Amino acid sequence: MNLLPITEKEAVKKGLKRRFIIMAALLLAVSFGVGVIMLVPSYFLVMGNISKIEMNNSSIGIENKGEVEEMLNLPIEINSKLKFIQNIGANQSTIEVFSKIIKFVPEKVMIDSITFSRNEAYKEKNGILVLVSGTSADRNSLISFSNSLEQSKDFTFVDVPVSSLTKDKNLPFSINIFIEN
Amino acid sequence: MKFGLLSKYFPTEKYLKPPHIGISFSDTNIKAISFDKTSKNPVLKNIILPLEKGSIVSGSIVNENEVIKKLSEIKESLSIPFVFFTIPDELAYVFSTSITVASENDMTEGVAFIMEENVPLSLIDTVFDFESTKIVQTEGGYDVSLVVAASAKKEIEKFVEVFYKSGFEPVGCVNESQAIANALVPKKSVETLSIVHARGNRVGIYLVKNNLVRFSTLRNISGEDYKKQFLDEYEKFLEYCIKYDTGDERAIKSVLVCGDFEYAKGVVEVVAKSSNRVKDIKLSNVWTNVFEIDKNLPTVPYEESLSFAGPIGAVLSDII
Repeated sequence: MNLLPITEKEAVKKGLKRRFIIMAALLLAVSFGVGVIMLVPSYFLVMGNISKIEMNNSSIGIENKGEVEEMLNLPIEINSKLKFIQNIGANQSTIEVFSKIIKFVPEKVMIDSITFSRNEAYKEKNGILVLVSGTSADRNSLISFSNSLEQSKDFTFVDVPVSSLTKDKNLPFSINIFIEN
Repeated sequence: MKFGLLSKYFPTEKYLKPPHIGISFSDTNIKAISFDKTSKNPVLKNIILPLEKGSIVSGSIVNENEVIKKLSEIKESLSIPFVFFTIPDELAYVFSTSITVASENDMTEGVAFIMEENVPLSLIDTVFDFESTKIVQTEGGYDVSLVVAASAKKEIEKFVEVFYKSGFEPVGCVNESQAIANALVPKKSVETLSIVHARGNRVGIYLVKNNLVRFSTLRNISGEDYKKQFLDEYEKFLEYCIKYDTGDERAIKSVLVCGDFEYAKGVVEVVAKSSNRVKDIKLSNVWTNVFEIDKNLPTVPYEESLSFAGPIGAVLSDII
């Protein structure tokens, strides 16, 4: 039994609640503190092991920044070299290209000049552009020459300008031959 | 689940409920005691301070300054700010009653409703508390038997005020008869017994069942025929108990006597010699619920300890 007036009883209850909260907070703080203290030996043990491992692996440590960058750039360098080698492999020799063209030249067609250019862009493609110009005795010979070139699988594009076919005899012509890389 | 080991090292009273002093008032003095009720061998600190005549009259504080002065001395001496005090029997009404309530939560309202029938004070001027002794579930709700203690609010407020003014923080208040029962009757006792609180000018007689004071009476007796007057009053008490409570005088198994040693001893002698109605009457052991008197020798002399039953019971009382 407690005959205190209600206001006093409420004050006592509040006091008890406050004590409970303080005790709970204190208990939590102590638990946290104990936890931290118990983790300290493990922390130092781990730190010791890490330093030991670092000492053992000091030979593979970072010594020169330049060397590291060089090593990191190696793939780029290899790529560029590889591309160069591939280009070389893909390039055909000039003589080979000339001989492929010349073997289709009919008797009545005279070649005046052959212009050979590498790394040319033609119809959005890269490759070798050969400009063959000359004179054809008649139109049929020129058509036969251009057909032979077109049918050959060695050339990507063969373009005979229409202006080259305006005459019947002694036609001056120029043919664009493109070989893709 | 048992928390015996846990509560042994972390007793909840000690950590959550503040240790408090027990103080009781009479017209002539203030008694205070402090001890650790969780300890098996507590250190006892007790003090009795006489009051100027007229400071407390019939249990009511008249001279506040004198009481504050004495309480301040007690605070300095015992150094504990929390206090559980007893209100003198003159100011307390104890009665048994029964109420019908719809739910167990409505008991306070139910008691408040019948308060004015039992106490000569308006409800607003009364403070009360109760303990249920029996709860029977019925179709309409619950029939609850209760023991109610009540007092005049303004009297309690006077005590609370003097405590605050003397630097104490009151945590509880109990009627003196119940405090004495808390000290003398072993915890968990289911016996029916009576307690006699004998003092120079008055005697309190209480009927106790299951550790609860069911009925108390305070009689002014003094003079040379103190013992005879007491016997008359005790006879009346027994008759009242038989008529309204126990139904049979043999239901009262024993009588425990405490108070001022000289008068308590006289009461035991006279009852033992003359009465055939009381079989077992003895001077009480006020340390019953504090420690085992066979194993610990209290620092307070036995004769003096008999007058400390009230403050000891106040220390043993639960705050909430």
